[in-house]
Amino acid sequence: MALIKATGVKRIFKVGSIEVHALRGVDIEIEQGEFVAIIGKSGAGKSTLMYQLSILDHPTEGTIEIDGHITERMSSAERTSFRLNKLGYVFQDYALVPELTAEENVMLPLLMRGDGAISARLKARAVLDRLGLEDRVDRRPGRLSGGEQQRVSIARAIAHDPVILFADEPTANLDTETSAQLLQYMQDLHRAGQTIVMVTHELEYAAKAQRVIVVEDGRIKKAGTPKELELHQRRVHQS
Amino acid sequence: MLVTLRVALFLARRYIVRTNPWQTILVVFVMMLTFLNLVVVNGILVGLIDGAVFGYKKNYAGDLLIQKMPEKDQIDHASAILAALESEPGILAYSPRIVEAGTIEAHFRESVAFPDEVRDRVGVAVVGLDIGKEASVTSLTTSVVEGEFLTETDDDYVVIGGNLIDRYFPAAIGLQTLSNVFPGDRVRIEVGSVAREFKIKGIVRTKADNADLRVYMLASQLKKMRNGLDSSPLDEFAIKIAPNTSLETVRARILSYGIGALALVQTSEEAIGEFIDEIKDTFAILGNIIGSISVIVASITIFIIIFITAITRQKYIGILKGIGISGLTIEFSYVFLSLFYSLLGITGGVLILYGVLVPYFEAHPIDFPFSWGVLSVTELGVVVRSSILAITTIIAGYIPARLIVKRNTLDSILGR
Repeated sequence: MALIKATGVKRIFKVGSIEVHALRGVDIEIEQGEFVAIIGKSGAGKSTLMYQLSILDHPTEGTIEIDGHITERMSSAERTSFRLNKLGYVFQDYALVPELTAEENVMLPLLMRGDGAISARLKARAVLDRLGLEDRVDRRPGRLSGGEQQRVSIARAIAHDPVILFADEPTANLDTETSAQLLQYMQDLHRAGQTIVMVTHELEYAAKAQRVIVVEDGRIKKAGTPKELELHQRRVHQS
Repeated sequence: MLVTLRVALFLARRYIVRTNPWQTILVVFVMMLTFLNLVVVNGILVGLIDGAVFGYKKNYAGDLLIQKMPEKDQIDHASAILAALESEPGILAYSPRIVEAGTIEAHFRESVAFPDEVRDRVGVAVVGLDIGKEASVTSLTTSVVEGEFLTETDDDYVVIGGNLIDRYFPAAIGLQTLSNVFPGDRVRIEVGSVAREFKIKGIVRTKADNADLRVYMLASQLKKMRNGLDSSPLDEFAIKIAPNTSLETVRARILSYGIGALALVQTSEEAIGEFIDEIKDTFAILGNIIGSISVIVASITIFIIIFITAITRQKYIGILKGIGISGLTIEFSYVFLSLFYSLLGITGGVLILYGVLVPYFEAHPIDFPFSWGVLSVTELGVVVRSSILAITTIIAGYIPARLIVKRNTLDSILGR
């Protein structure tokens, strides 16, 4: 059974009297342990699709089933709790809480899941160590580089062992070298069995995924391995 | 719920410690001023009346006041009362007084020379005192503002209450007063058909009207002026009870001697009249109204501050919700923030109140025309007002947080 199963997902935004069809009926299945990249031009609907799959947003139509749970039936509190227990997020602009240190940012979801302060601290420190941030634990986001902030963001997303890790343009604000390192971390996570759904407009980075879904005009245009889509031969950025 | 509160506290604590300290100082300062406004305005208004009651007790009535029945000219069988007071162990001291209606006239020699001029004369209560006994019950003898108080040998002297003199109690207030009267001046006092000249030894000012509208002389001299009609005429007893003694117990024992049939036996609070309580209640309401306005201002301040804080952090609130932090947790974190502001403000206010204001007002009471205004603050009043302020602040902090938290998570994250 697929870990994520989206059927006929539509998302329509109303801007005044105008209806914008961001998604026009998307069907996707993502298996446990897959590393999926969603690519597309700006405005194609790739981020909107990820927001639906990660239940940060409600589809206008269609159903999304994650790990056997039908998400439309969940209340707002249940969705929040589901995100806490099953999902992990890496946002484009790191989205770290500025008043918290790197360690405290990572501790936060662990505390919310009921871990004691000491246990949460130990787990947070272990994940930060794994990501090479052992000497940055007490720093607040303002005193970390972009790459370090994004690694803290990954640490926060994976510290509670989520079923699925969602990453929305995680390399968007990083230089090439740091982006490559970040992709390497994600590939390591994938190899360790983590299911990852990543939105990117960088073909080069999408090529690191196991499967690529191309979104265009609110629909899935094509999907396949990077090799099938010949991404490894294309160096041109789609943006 | 415990986890919710723990994480909320975790977030609030970090925010307080790591946010701009000037913001915290400003909000705490506003809360402190609000608390002081709430307590001090009410305290001064009520203290104004408390000061009057205290002055009445301290300078005129003592703890218990025995007075003649309204329909009588004097207390019947005063000797029986004296015997009862002497035998009552709960009484520390008492002062028997003779009170007669009379007049006092200043510049009376000039009025003989200029008979067409309006005479400088006012109606007064003339009081005969046993100086030593009076000093052991009230502070009248130490409330002299000009000259000196009487001694046991001052047969030809009187002391005048300040409210009988125009420089202390301007005639504009409505009472007739004597003008240009100073210690050393001669005045003529008339009681019944007997008139006699006395020299003014001093002027007393106690802020207790009953005491300040009287003329005092030795009891022996007033007895003489009453032509010896009664060998022991007495009209009033001011009584001071022993420390750690129940006022009601002492009164009950005095009444058990049958004195209730001979005279009115009242506590100083009863003697001053119910109207004082009514004025006190009215002033308390007035103080509470003024205080309520400051609570509303503080609530609006907290509302605005929390609203601005929450709206500028809307994106982070969205992210917190996105990563699974419940809306209730985020709301509680702002409630804790508001609670922190109010508790710190209240603590600062209490320190200033008991460390500065209460000692200051005790040492320097406000000079109101009819009382020495003190700051009337009770522990219960402080607790109630602190609780009102804290609860109001919590509500004022919760509402804006709720408004922001209930927004769509994704909209908050994307800043839409």
